[in-house]
Amino acid sequence: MTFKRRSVTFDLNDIGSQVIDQISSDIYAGPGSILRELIKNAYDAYLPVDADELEEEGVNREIQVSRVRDEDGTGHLYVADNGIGQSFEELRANVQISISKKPTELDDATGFRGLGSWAILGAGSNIIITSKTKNATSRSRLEMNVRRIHEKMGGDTTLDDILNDPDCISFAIEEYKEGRAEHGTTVEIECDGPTETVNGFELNRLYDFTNPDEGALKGILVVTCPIPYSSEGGGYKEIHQVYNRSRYIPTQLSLDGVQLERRLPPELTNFHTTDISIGGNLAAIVWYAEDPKESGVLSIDDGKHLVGGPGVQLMRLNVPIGPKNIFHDGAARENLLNWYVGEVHLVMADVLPNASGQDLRAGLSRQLFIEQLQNFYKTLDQQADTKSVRLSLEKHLKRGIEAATKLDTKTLTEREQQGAKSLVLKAVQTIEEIAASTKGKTKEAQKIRNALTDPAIKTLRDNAKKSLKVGNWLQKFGKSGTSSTTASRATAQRKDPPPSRKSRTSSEGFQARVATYIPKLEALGLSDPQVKGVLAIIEELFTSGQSVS
Amino acid sequence: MAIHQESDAKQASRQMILQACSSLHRNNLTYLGMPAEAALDIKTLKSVLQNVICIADNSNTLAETKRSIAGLRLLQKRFKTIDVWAYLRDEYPSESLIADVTFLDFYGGGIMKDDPFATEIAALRSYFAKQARFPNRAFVFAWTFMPHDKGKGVYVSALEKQKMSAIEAELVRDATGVRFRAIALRVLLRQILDEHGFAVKLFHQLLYKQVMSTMILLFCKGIDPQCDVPLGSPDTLIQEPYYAYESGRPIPSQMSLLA
Repeated sequence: MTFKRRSVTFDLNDIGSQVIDQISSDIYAGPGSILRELIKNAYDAYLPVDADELEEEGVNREIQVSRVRDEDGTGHLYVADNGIGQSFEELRANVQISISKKPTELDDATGFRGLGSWAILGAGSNIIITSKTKNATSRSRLEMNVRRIHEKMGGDTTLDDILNDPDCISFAIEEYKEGRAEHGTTVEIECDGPTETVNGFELNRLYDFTNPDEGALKGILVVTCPIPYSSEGGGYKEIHQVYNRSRYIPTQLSLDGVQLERRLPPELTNFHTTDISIGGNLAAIVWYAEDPKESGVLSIDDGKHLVGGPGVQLMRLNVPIGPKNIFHDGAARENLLNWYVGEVHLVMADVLPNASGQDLRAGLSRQLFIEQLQNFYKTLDQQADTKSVRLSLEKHLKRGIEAATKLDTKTLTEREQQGAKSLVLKAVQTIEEIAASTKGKTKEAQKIRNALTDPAIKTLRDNAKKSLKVGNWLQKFGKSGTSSTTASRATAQRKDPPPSRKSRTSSEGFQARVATYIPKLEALGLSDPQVKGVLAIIEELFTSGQSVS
Repeated sequence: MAIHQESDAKQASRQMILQACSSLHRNNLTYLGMPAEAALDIKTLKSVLQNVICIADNSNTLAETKRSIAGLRLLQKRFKTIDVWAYLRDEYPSESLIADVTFLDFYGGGIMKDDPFATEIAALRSYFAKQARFPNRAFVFAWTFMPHDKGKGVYVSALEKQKMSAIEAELVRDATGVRFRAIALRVLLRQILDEHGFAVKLFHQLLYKQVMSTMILLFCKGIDPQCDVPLGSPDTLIQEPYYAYESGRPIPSQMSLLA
């Protein structure tokens, strides 16, 4: 057989109109992804504008998101910037599909897919984009009648039927006698009613969010959009250095006139930065912060701090990618990652978010990066463990010192003595655990050794030993009954057989242990005489137990 | 979209209003006015504004206004498709915001309605009555008018229930053109301000090429400690000069309504 080449050409009539819905509905379904797309475009609009020029004009580098709900119920959501603006021809490019000049013309642009206005189509019933460049003598407008487009869309219509129908897509221009300085773009999403389906296609998806009294949009912006950290919070300098290295230019974002700023909770004073590399190349810059005085999942007032809760957020140009602690599975315990607030800023060119912004684009670099990210998560997991042990040691030693001091004053009531003794006992046990850990091979021993790398813990242990010696508490509550040195204690523990129940349970030690249960008895609602009665029963049981053994 | 071209006079008026606002030393002001499509009032005043109440009797105008101010950082925005006088008379009293700067910017005359007592005067009374509920807080009130209205008779009719001094009555009787309108509006405002116990200062009145005049007042019931412009009795309003801006002259001429 011999095939001869024949020339065939295609045009817009060869593409079904439903491709539009596949872009706008399948990729940009939720309010977060729609808003993120608009805000990314607004951010990119500032990239070609010289910062000094903006300052001279008295123009803030900011993106305004605002909402208006008309008396007739029509909702409007606006995203406005004072960026470079678009000429009539550039505005026309908003309707093109997958033809974007950003990757070649703009370094560090957040958008690179060229999906333009189609990405936000289902958000409203009418999309109006008004734009102007600096000193231009005209302003341009693109209007997309979403309702009409959806009415026309279907198996029988082509892209040509939509793109070239002025009832669906129209352009307008406003001319001035003289050039005007103001520049920028305003995107308006008009929703003429609640979300509905027209001809099988959804529109007015953002209707609920066009009400200025609605509170959820702020939270959506926080978890999906680039919001810089405030200069008023901790870590500002370091975080902005990370921005600088990752080539993100801080751009203010406001919602209904209120500037949104992330703020690190003031208690997160332990601040760290690190890099993630792949094959010697920088892949991401990381910062994370923690509360050195507390362990556990961070409790964050997100209405105030706007950090989207605890955990580590993956970013590119400060645009969040997916949920916090993304890809942690199998690498680290998520609850331990939530002891931190942190950000991983991607800088490697071929590690990019996917279209939905919820994942990374497929590719070899993706997997390599995820492995490195998981290694970073593992270190956070281990550090959280170490901190937990450190704080526990610190707490028990400090409380033991305080309790021993109080006991020495001999002014405590019987019940107070019981409480104090229980704390002293715990401190003695802690000192013993520290001593045993020096040669222990268990994970717990390793954690204690890691915690002891903090010199403050060693000092505290030494102070505790001194304090507990005064009342002879080390002897009274200690396992060996003597305040031996760490080394001799460890040797003794290895040589000695396991202690009998009798030797382990001295009456003083038992008393102290029982004391720890007194608050629980009180919490059960027992009155003081009832607690006294229970204690008498326990004492009787203890005494009889001692005599039996 | 709007094709209205801005005159120098309008720009000068807005700058003067901004100056008046600056003398209040508050940067969280609420604007009430008819900003039109380009919202240049609001853009000029943006550094001192926090909220806006925008009035237009045409919803298309308001739709453009909304877009024009979408890029400004404003906390609360109200858009009302209604005649401004009807708004001031019927809706403003129950509005939760209080207008710190009000700009009634008419292309036509100051008093235009067939029954000014039912509309303009009722609206002004309603507006000032609400302002009087906020003592020790100074406000800016600006009013632009042009002489192409329904003639002197409408103003005379609006003033017929006003208590006028002999000088005022004489001025109303003899004056013509924009000067007459300026006198009429000052007499009207003097009486309403007096009724509510406001102190006032005519911050500036410009007359542009004999066709457009903007009167800017600062007024307060009690004393606003932040306002750095001394206010006086409403009776002094008629004595305050106005400034005529004429082509070919580098500076405006100070004029007196009493002359």
